[in-house]
Amino acid sequence: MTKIQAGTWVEIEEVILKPEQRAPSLPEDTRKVPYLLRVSGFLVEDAELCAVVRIRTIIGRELQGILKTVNPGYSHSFGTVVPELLTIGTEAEE
Amino acid sequence: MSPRDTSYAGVMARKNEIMKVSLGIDYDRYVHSPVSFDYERMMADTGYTHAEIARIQRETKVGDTPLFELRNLTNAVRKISPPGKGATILVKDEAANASGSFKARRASISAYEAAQKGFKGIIAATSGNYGAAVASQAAQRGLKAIIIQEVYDSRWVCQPEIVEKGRAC
Repeated sequence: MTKIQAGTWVEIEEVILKPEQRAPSLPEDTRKVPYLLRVSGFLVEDAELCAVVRIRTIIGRELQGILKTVNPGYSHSFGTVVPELLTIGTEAEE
Repeated sequence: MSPRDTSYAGVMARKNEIMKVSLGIDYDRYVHSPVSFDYERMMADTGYTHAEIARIQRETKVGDTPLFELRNLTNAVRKISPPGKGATILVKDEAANASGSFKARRASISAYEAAQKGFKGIIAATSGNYGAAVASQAAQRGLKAIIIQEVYDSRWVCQPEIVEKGRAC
């Protein structure tokens, strides 16, 4: 496995609450899974993916967690067009 | 002092007490009846006048958002309304606030108050717009910010508008 260099922008994961520690008021399917935290920051020391590492966030907090992603980003889709919505305006004009 | 119960049930049992101490306002003082309260008296106790709020908000690009008439929608409604009915539809463009939502309005005062009291930073738990607002207002006031945001579900599925606010923070 390749080493990821210290100073690289990465994302770590940490278990905040195990399923048995979650609030009793939550829906059942939510209570079954752990509450996970993901935080991005600069890697403090060289490490491999999936190792326990320390990061320094943009405001200088040092946190520890499992190294999950290198150079994490955000992506999403707006899906396809909803055909039923297309004729709403033209129907009113008829 | 005995150690506090930090379990979920323990904290929830102290919820009212925690709210009163952190807000510095006891809502019970303003209650008239189960369905009414003294709004004017509560606002007088917050320590800010309307003019001060407007000044604070102008400093960080909040408020004075434009009001537009939606002519197409107004006309469409009048097409199907009885004579004399069909109100003019207006939109207050709150996306024109710093960070893109009306949540900048409340975040602006929190950030101002935190800066006045000498705090290093502010923290918010949010599902989106409020976090972006706090991050933006904190940056403009020279404060650090920690935003806890629920972006993904346990299968790492996200909603576009939520992940966009996660990115903005």
